[in-house]
Amino acid sequence: MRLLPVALALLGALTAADAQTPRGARLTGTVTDAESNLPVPGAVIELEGVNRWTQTDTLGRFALTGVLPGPQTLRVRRVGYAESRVPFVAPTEGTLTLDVRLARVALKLERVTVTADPTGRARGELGTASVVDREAIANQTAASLQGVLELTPGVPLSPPGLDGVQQISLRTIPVSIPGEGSGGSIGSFGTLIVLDGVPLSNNANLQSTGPRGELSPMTSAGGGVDLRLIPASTLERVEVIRGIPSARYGDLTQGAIIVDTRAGIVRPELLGRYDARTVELSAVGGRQLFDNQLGSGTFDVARTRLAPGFRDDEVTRLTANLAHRAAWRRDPGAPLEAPAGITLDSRIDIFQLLQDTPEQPEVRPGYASRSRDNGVRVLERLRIGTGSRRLEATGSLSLTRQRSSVQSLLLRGALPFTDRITEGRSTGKFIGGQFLSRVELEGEPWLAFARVEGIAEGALGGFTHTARIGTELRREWNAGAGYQFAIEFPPQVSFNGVNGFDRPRRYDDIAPLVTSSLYADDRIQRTLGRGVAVELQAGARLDVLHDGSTWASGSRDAVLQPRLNAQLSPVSWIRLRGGFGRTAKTPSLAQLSPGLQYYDIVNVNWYTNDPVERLAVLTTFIRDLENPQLGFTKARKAEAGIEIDVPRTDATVTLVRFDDRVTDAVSRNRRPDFLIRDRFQLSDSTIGTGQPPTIIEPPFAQDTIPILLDRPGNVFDLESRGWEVTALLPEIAAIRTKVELQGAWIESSVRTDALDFGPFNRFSDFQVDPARPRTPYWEGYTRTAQRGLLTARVIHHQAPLGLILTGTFQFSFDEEARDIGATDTLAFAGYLTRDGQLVPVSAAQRLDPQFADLRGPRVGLLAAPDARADDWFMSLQVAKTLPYDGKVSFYAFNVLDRVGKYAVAGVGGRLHPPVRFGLELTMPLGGRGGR
Amino acid sequence: MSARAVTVACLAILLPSAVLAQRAGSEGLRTGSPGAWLDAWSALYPIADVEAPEVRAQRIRSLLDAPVPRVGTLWTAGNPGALPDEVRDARSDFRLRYESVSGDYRRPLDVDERGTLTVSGFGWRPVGERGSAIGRVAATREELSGGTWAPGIAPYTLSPLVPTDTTGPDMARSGATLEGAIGWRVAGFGVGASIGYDVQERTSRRSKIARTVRATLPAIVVGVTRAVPSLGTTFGIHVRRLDRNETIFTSPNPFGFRVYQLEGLAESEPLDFANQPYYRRIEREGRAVGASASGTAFGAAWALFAETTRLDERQYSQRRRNPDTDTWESDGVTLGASVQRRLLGSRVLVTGFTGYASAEGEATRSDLTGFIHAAEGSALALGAEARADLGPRWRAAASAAFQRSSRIVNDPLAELQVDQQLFRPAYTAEIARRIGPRTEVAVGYAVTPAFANSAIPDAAGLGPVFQRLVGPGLEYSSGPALAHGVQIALLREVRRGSKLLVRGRYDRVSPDAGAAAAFRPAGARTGVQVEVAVITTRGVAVP
Repeated sequence: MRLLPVALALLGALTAADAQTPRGARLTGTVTDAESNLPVPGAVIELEGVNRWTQTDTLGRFALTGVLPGPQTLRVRRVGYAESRVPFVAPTEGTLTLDVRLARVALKLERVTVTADPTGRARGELGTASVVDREAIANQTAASLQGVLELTPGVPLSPPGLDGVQQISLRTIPVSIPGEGSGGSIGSFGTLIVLDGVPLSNNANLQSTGPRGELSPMTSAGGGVDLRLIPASTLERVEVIRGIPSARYGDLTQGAIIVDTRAGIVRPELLGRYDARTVELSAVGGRQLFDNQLGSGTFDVARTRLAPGFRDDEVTRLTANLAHRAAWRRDPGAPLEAPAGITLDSRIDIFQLLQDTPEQPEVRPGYASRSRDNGVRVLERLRIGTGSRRLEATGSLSLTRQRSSVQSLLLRGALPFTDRITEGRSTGKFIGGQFLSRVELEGEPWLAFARVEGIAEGALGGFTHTARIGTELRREWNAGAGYQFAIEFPPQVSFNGVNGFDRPRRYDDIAPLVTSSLYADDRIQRTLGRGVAVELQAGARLDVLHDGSTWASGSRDAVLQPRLNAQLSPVSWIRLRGGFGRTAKTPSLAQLSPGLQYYDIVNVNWYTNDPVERLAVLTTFIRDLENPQLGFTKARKAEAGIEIDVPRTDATVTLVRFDDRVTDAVSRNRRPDFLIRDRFQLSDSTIGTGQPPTIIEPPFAQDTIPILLDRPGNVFDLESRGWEVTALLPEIAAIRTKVELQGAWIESSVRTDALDFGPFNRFSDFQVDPARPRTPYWEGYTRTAQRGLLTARVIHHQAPLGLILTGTFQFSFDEEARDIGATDTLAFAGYLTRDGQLVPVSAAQRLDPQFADLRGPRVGLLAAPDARADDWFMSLQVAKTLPYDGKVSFYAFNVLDRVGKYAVAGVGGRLHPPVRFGLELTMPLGGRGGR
Repeated sequence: MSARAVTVACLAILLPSAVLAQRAGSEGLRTGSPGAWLDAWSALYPIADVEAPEVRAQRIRSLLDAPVPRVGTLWTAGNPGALPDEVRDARSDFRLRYESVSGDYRRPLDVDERGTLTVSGFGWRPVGERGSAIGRVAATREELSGGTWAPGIAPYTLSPLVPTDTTGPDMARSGATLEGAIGWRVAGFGVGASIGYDVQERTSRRSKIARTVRATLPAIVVGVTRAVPSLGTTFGIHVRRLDRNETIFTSPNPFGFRVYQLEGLAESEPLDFANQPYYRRIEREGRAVGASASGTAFGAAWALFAETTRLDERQYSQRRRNPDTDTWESDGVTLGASVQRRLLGSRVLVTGFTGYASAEGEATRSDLTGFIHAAEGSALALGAEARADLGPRWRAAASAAFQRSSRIVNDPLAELQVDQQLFRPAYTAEIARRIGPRTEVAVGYAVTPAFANSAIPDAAGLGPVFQRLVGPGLEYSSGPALAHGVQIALLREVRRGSKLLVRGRYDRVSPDAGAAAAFRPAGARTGVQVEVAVITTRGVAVP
């Protein structure tokens, strides 16, 4: 909290400082129509990521002064034209002239970017980022945000569609430890997605049965936000901050993805896509409503058949978005889209995602599952201020109504059963046979979010400053009816006299997840002369996890997260970059409130042919799995890199080394405990009496039954390190072709402190067999995986034909997983007794004959490295203009239908997804937007 | 505007290749029919293969929408290096076509009924001062009903290795074809490349047994031409490469199904599957090298080419390294020539064409040494097309072509031979009349009698697989039949350079009733086709 006065003082100093004109270059140019060569007046000229803009005059001319040195992007927009983005490197001083040509259709522009900008920066950010602009999104075959993210290094290509849950893990490759989650899910859980300025969250998603039961619907619970909810066709811009995000962004461990949907003045257009599996229809449009208002909307509906010809499984998505901006007190002539004066932005999003697996009575009778998320999100943002000083207040509320169900025919023997929900002994009954077990999960996660942020720009101490201070409040809760099923037809599979039957659970009585945050940072830039420039972004963020249901309640955990990014340009074409920072992620609601675990111990199991003579006596024990010590998952992120703009060419090469360490990640920390079982003698147990026997009190004996409590704990570490490289090579003019390379080599390792009690059946045998006094346990271990991924895009552009042909080659290499941990028969660390005691056995003692029963191979670890063959496949996209400014695109994923290399001795094979192809048509709908 | 955009967009949603089908039925001849020149540049032509096509009437390239026939290194030999010399005008057309085919007069591995919706675009234009481009895209959605024994895409190639099974579900097919060629004039040479790609996916519909088939067909042609003005001739060389990957997968199911992997004329052993999948991968690799020449002599434009071709096919059923593989290898040649001249004061344009394609190959089976089947196929076509202006209102066109196909098979496993000589003369006629300043109507008729001189095994004395799957196909092609088609088309110029065409066509083929055979299909097969096209032209065509 001591940061606050310091930050306020800094802001005050900036405000008080003279508004010195920042040093820098002057940028001038002319905007003309590509076909007629006539000047284009009224075009909005904007420096991307910097709050600087102007407009062209009647002769199409423009000028911007004080342009800071380094890589910048000029964004040129005009109603009726395709937006043009022109990357350039600004000199330290002097005048730079950039003439821009606009075309009705971007494909007819000589210069159109269809890949991520490798040297781009997210707005207000200095950390390493990939920036994907509208034209690149439009050229990318993507049904959701997942497909757009394939333009960033290290992200594997996948078929376009809504198949499966789509979650992204930046700078991490999936690596799992059996029973302990995976690095992939940790990474996706810790990857922040910000949509239109407001973070999305999956923290309150409880649509999972967790470790309980055999029936579990496929949902995104436990990982990151399901990217299928974000259609690519409605996206304007995606910024993927792979490096260290500024202090503005919290609740993350991996990185941040900033997503803007299309809004403002947008030429109405309709997009249709058809392939053998996915059909999509999308519409977008926006216009100026009155002198001071903008209104826009997007709509998207899509359906993917998951296994056509095999099953009727399908995923359907419906999203709609309405956006409105009202502006007052803006500069005369200022475009409404420029943030100046007072602006009030309002947005409302509605969405639905339905994944349905209907029953196939003839193939798999009884089995069906369905998962539907539908929700609404409203957003209000007020901006007050001029270009150099702004106050921004954002509020958002979102509700998702989640309904998941899964059913299956289960076959059980006769089981003693009780539905008691308090601890104690009771007489039960017998259930069993074949029955249809069905689980319903009804969740209603809410997210309330508010942020107030002040921004001041100015000059102080010879540096240009952009300082921010802000505070955030978040509250997430789930108001759903919860985990429901007919209690006499339970989904629990592992009934063995110990684990017991599950009980329904309501979600609306789970305590909310409440956090508050404070952050401040400053971005400073200075030109030191002789072309040397330095840029620094430093800040800190404090996240507090409250222990009550309001922000006034006490602190359960708090993490201070300093962040620093720096860049030095010794010459104008080289940039040396580095960053270091700490980040933190709140635990999920499921981890904070894991619920109660019921154990139904069978005291008497008297089963006769005559139902009236049967007797079942059970004792119910309840264990609360909540861990009051549970706190934030923390991460330390570091990176260093270099960017080179090869002189006298358009080539750019970047190389980044990163090292991310996530510590105290949350997972099940399996700890032993025990229950006491009473054994009774029966009176009058003669068969044929028409009466059940009775138990004779007191119990004639007692024994103990060991159990394992799956209590969440901060027990998991994930380390990822590697290299990222991008190379944008200059166009080969003779064949109008250029090549873009991007690649990543990543090594991720997961280490757990949780104890390993072996496979479930081994432990359950121990539980039910009183003659076995002990069972071995093993200590945690580390699993490491590495993978190299190189993606090459060959882009052939024929502007006169309005044709772009993109061949994407993906090479996977050096892929291997290995375990660090002994698997031999002497690997056990000790043993567990029937009364839940852990008894360590030293390595020297493990050969003793007294421990012979403990010496067995450890199951679940890789005895040898699991390597995959190096392999490649290729995808193809062809986009062509149509009459009336339309566009048609053909795409084919794995265009050659390569199967993948087969396994050979010591090296595993690959199986590429099969070819998937389709067409996409984009047509303008009449007007050109605007008034 | 919106209505137009909405309509086009909706069509895109409903998109459902006939392009591949057209070329697949060409028997490997690139100059064997009146309209073949429009597809000669395609990289997707079969290599070292002579398919056995269904009997059908010659397609009528309507006077109303088909461009004036052209002759040259590009249009006859398919060498893209000639693009800049032979394409100096611009043309594009967009078509929406629905075709329905049904009827019992078909071979056992043909689909019973099919309904095909095709959206396609085709065009050419100059690119800058020294270049030209041509391209085509087509998307197809097809419903196949009544089942078929052959899940594969093209069951009647020269290769005898044809997987068949008893599942026979209704299928849905999505397909796309993408082709483009571009050529430049560089230092006195014409240099060009043509790339083609066809992809299909078939999935079963409303079936308890799930079957998917997918196929990709990438192809490339690279060509160089050089004009020698002193000889009035342009010479060219080109190389072609065409691959095909096809994967057939039937999912495990409790109902079971039986697979027959046909190997020619032999009685194949049934393979029974229950609760286990059937997987078959077919990989084809074709290569060709050719030379061409074109020029003018005696007021006529002429062009000719020759190609040597080679095809390697591998089929296997295991997903592992070095699987047991059945193979088919064939070598062949393709020749073609065309000539064009204006007569009668330029009122009549006559285009003559001839083509020859042959392939000879052997098949092997992974568990046997030596070949199991040898086949030799060839096709020879010779014909001419004439177009005439009959005054301000009338135009007419007629074509006549004679095609002779031969197939000689030696199957040592079955100890059987086949020797087929098939004859299919094809005649078309069309007359068009202007009925207003901007409207024209045309009526056309095509007829193809099919007859043969064949020696084929008597199916009655052979096994059930031959009787059901092989014999009827041989008797189908060896028996006399008559195919005819009627076509009516209406063209309206909606604005200068843009025309709207509506066309309907009816086809019927039936066997000669007096030539019944025990296993020969009976009945008839009919087809109905409706097409709407928008055609735009710019510039002047180079004859």
